[in-house]
Amino acid sequence: MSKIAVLNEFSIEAVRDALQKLDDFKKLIVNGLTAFELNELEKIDPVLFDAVAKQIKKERWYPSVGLWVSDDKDMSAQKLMRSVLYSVTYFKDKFDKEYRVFQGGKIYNDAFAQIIYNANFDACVLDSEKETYWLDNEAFTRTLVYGGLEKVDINDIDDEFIKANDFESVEDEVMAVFQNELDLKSVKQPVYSDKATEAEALLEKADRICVQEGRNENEDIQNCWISLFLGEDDVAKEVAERIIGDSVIDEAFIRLNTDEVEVISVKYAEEDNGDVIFRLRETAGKEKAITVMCDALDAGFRAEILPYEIQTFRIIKDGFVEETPIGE
Amino acid sequence: MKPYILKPHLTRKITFMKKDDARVPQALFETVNTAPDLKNFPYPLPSKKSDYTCFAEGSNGVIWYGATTGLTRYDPNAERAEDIIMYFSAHKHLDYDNVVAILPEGDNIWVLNGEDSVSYIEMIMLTSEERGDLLREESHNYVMRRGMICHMNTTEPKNIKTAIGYTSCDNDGTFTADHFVGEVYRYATLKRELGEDHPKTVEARKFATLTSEAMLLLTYVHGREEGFIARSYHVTGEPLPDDGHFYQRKDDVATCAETSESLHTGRVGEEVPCTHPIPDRLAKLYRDLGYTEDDLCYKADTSSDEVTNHFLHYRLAHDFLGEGDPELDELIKDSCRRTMTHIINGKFEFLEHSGKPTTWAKWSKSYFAQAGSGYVDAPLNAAELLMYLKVTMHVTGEEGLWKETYDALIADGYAELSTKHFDRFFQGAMGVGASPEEDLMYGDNLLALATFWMLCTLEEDEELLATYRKAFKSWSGTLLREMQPGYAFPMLAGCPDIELDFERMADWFYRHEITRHAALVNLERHDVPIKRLRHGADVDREISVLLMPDERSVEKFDRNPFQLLERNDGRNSHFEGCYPYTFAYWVGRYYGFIAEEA
Repeated sequence: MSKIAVLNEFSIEAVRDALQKLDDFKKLIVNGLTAFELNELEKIDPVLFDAVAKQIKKERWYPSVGLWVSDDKDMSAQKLMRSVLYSVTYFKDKFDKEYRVFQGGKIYNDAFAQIIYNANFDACVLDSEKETYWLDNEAFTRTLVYGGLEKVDINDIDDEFIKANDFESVEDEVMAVFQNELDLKSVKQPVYSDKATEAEALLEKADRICVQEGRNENEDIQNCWISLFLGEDDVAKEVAERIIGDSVIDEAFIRLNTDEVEVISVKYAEEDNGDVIFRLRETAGKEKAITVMCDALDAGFRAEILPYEIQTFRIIKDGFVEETPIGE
Repeated sequence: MKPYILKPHLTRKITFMKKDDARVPQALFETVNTAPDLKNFPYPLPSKKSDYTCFAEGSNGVIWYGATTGLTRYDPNAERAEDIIMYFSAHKHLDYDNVVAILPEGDNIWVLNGEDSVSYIEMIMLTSEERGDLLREESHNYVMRRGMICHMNTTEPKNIKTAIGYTSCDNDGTFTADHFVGEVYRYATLKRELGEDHPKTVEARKFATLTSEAMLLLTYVHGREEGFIARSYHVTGEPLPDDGHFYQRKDDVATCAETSESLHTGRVGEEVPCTHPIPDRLAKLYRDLGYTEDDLCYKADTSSDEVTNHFLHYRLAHDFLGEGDPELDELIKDSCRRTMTHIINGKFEFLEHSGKPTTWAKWSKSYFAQAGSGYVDAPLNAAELLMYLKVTMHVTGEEGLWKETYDALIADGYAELSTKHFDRFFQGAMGVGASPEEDLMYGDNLLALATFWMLCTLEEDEELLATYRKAFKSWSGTLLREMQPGYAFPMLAGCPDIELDFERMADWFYRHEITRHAALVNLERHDVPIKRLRHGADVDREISVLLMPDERSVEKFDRNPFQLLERNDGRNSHFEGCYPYTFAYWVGRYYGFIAEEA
């Protein structure tokens, strides 16, 4: 059986050691490094980062794609979506790679399964999860949680071990599971109301104010979220408050024909092409047809939303609309 | 439960003409266009606001808006939310999206579109039954051929009266069975409400019987001694499509004709005996038109779609027509026995005369063990086989081999396997990087419906019934997302505890047109988001809102109603059969789920 070699330690020495082993053994595959870690590595040691980047492009190094920082455990849907969004976007922009297996901490949020599914992941590997099961959601979405990985630390294995074994990526091992006969239990996370923290709410507000006022401060807002992922809420709040200034939310900017759907986000798309993203969430546990109006963007559209579903819409040129994955 | 009461409702009727047609009022050309002020308009509009170039007030507060991208009808007083904004576009309602001038006339409107085209759009009040009757009339007059219903092309675009009279259909048995369901439930309902001798009941029985005979003929037309079923058949003078395996009868032998597929499989020239007689009653369907057995060319490589729908037909034909027509009932029993025997002798695979299985009719464990399609198909196919046996016991009144086989399959895990659809289906889709909606073979929806509807209404063992209901519900995600009463009503008959949104069901009936003209419409609307699918496999884009039937393209049962179809002219000369409507309506009426307002 092939081995999964993982980089557990994020240090220059550990990364160098892993790269050396990749050079020495052509059949070796390495897994590890989150978007955050790669981002840091690029700042600290650009040459080493380039070496890792080359291996990622050659598919001999598989990063840990999912959350910006993998050790988050408990978070609001807003924070979870931003973390997934920035991670997915990072790998797409930086390496032109899209991955199908989410890797990260065990997340306690009832929207987790649909967020993972709608970010185009087919399965996930959660830290410390040993069981394999379907994680279901009211919104007709599910994800496969795979708990069967047996990992070895790339820095702990010696040449003899590498020579004696075959290696594969987490991605390949998990996706191969779909080819087997599966008879798995299905688990549904309980529905509960998660609230964005004060800092998260301020960042959402800053995004919406920017769209209302036609100014794009995506880079600053993204940096704030990244600070927030690292626990620096005060930094995020300070910048958000600066962006918001004296501006107030115009409640009429986006109008829905129901109180049972909340507007989670109004923001510019990450590509900075002027497209605007609306993210909505059904809150009453009832499927419904809704209308969404936004005169300022010349947009007015219909949608059908399932119980507790989060839907993401992209308002493009002339107010035409696309329904889009969360990792837009 | 009390039936949902359907009321008369406005229905679109479109007449296409050129602007020099004498019927077109001169006033249409004298209108002066003023662009409407749509600032703060309270509802999403199908066209971009800046596309609207003209407007005019119709009757009862209705306002019509013409745009370069279609026509919008705004009824601020509409009782139903779906009726507040209506949209009309090319090629189903207009020749061109570009509306040049409009002239309301009562509830109706004249629309000059493009350079020289005029559409006269009437909004006529009809009951849902009347709508169904008009659809039947169109299908029976122009789409039906020798009792079979599929679709029909015309020589002139949009003109059903120029129907060419023949067609190429891969699944005549499937679609005719669906039509038969509508016809036979119509007959059963009218018989209950009006009596057997009422002229409407007599007419209903006539067409139910005709379609039943057409179904049965497909099980004899090949003349094979073993109980085979043909997908379709053609008669002399009808061109053979270059699609599949066709066998031309001559005396006692049928010979495989040359097509791309038969060349590929090396079956060109293969000779198959056709010595089993075609019953005279069924042969009338072609003999009365002047054809003999030597004029018949049947299509083989039959799929489980066909077989499943034939068993649906056996059961309903026996139940509703058998008692009053012993001759027909004996044919039903004989055909049913022969087909079931063929499947058992083939070790649960449908075999060609050569002994090789057809491509898509396999219910064996060895097929289920195949990675990919076998593994994903297994839950449905396992249930299909159980349904065939259950129907055979019901129709023939016999047990013996049928019951022994049924019990053995239950013991072998077939019933339990049927409950695993949702898991395997999701797994199969994700394994190839697609969403379930993207990966679904839409015809499977109908197969699941026929299978579990029959099983849930025939099985008396409580434990097995609970298993079949659980299995039926594992299809609810893809069945019920279409808000299509033709799916929802049989499911409710099989699983009485499911919850249905009857308002959405009513919308589906109300917003059907009175023609099955299959021209495509504009789906890239300003008010409807376009959804990029997960990994863009077969169908790369959908509309994310289920539009009313009169604002999307007419399709068979087995198509994705969310699919974003690109417009082309080919469909302007294409008409579909009416069965999706009549199936839904008459099953609903029969079971008492819906009724017409008194």
